[in-house]
Amino acid sequence: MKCIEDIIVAHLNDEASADEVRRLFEWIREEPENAREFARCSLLHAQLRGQLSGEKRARESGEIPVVRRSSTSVEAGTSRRNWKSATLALAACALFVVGLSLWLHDGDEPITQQLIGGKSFVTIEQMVDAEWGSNANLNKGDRLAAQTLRLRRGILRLLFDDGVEVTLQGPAHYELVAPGDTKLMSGLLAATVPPGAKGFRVETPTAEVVVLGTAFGIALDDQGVANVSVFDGEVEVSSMGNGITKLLKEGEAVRVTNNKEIEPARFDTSAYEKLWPISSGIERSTGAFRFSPPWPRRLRFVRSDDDIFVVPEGYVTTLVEPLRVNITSPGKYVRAENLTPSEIPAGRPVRSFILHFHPNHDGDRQRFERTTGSITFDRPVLGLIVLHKELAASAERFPGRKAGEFLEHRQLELTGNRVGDVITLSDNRRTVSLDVAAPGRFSDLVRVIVNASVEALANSD
Amino acid sequence: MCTALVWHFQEFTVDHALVTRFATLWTQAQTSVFAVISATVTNFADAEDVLQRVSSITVSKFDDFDIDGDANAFVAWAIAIARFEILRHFRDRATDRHEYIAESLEQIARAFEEIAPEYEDRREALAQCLQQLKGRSRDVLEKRYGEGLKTGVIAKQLGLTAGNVSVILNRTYRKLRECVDGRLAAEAGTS
Repeated sequence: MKCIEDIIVAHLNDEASADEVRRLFEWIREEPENAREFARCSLLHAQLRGQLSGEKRARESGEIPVVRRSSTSVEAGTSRRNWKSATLALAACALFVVGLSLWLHDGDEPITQQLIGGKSFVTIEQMVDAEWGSNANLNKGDRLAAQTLRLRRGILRLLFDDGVEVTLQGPAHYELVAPGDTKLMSGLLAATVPPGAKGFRVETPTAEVVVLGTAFGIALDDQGVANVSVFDGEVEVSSMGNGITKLLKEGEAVRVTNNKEIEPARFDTSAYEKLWPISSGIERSTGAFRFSPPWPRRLRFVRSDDDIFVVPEGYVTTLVEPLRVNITSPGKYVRAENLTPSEIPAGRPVRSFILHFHPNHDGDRQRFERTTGSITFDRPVLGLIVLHKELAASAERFPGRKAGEFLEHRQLELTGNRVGDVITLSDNRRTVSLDVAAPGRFSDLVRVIVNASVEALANSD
Repeated sequence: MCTALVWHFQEFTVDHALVTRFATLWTQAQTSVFAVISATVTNFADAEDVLQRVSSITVSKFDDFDIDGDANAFVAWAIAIARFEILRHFRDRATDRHEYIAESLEQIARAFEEIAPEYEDRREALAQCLQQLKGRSRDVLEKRYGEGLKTGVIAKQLGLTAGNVSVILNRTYRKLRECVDGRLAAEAGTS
């Protein structure tokens, strides 16, 4: 049997069993000194968290005076009530988003695909309205070796063999130099670099960006000046030629000028809005579906009476243990007893999405919103999670956006007092349709588990 | 894009003095409040969510706090709010731990108030003890506490088993506790 000290450490590390926690709290109640001893241990735990996370932040941000999340220009003021709203808004949104217009290259260059040859290391995952140069005839699923891609218009998503995904919005000029080594000469780029694929590099006319496990974007203006924004994780940005290096973290942005200077820039994600659905593996949507921006992190702040928000949950991940889902077969579902529950086996690469209908009427039990729509993924859906128990159980499996899966009123109402929620999985397993209602404080939550393997993409047409 | 909040930004005005006052008090109180929360809500992400809620509530209820109150009064007030939010957290998750944590929470909060005078000394001692920590113990600690990773993830990253990581964490935690207590005892002996 563990001694109480071991149980305290296990408890503070979230690894104690229910019995151990019960025993610990009984021990705490026995003597005031026990409670003080527990408080000292917990204090050490909290101070470790404060100190080491602080050191990490300092390492990351100490070098660079970028626009901080809490910084903003505001009018010196008047009302006490308003400052609280402002502070709350800052705390909730976690960053100050302002408009930033990015001038995107719109030239009409001759468009060529320059094949250099060699071993291929990139697959074209997705093309939406893509228009190439006269010599190019690239298609979804093509394998690419080192070469230059000139995209006149449209959106292109590339998958590198190590899992890095790059999405380009034309007009763009992008060179695949070697695995992990690329150049963006013009255009807009968003990339996600999954854990384990560190070291991915993008060179621009003014900057070199080295990725340390992250999601980030680069927008080049007509002068070749790079605006680099970090959506998740961290990147290292170097000015070409003078060796100045800065570390950027999530929610920060810089501009690397033609004078080789790295200047703070305002973080603004609006330039990337067209890219995100494609870069996440969503082919199209109809009706109420709307792609949720990466901000704010907490989904409870993303609300609408009309829209169903689609939210990707982190990167592609391989299931380390089976995942329980409620629906595995194509069909239309209105009652819990007709669901087709099963387990997705361990070892499958998957990507998870949250579909969330969350109207604005918290507390007003008289209001009753209904909405419909459908969303098509570029790969087959392996399973749908629609009931509270499985939503809560799967919440920790996918990193990212807390959507309140632990609240019982966030699920499809397919049991008890049903309100007419309907979910349909198409025969080809790629389209999910929702016809849902959210009365009072209820909201509708669905977790979609999509097959993320390259083979699934190739077979999805 | 956080539309309602962005609209909000365009409209607000700010009393800088009040913001500064709140920020000062909250900065001083945050570690204490987080210590109470993380003593019971042991998942870092959840604990930080609860802390965020407490910070939001302290902002929204700042009218209720005596603006001339000192830092200790603010800490006690914020911890009282934290207790409600901890209970709300467990109630929302409908866990079987709700009842016995609720029964102990008052004693735990009181214990934290009792050891409050030790906070700063312990923090300084810990900073010195951490400087002596090298190698794998330091790596594991940084991943666990600096990055908030769980033992399974740390194990995967470092090529260890989850059991190995737990043992390293446990051993390192004991070492640090002994080091902190030893330094405090030595200082008490010399003063």
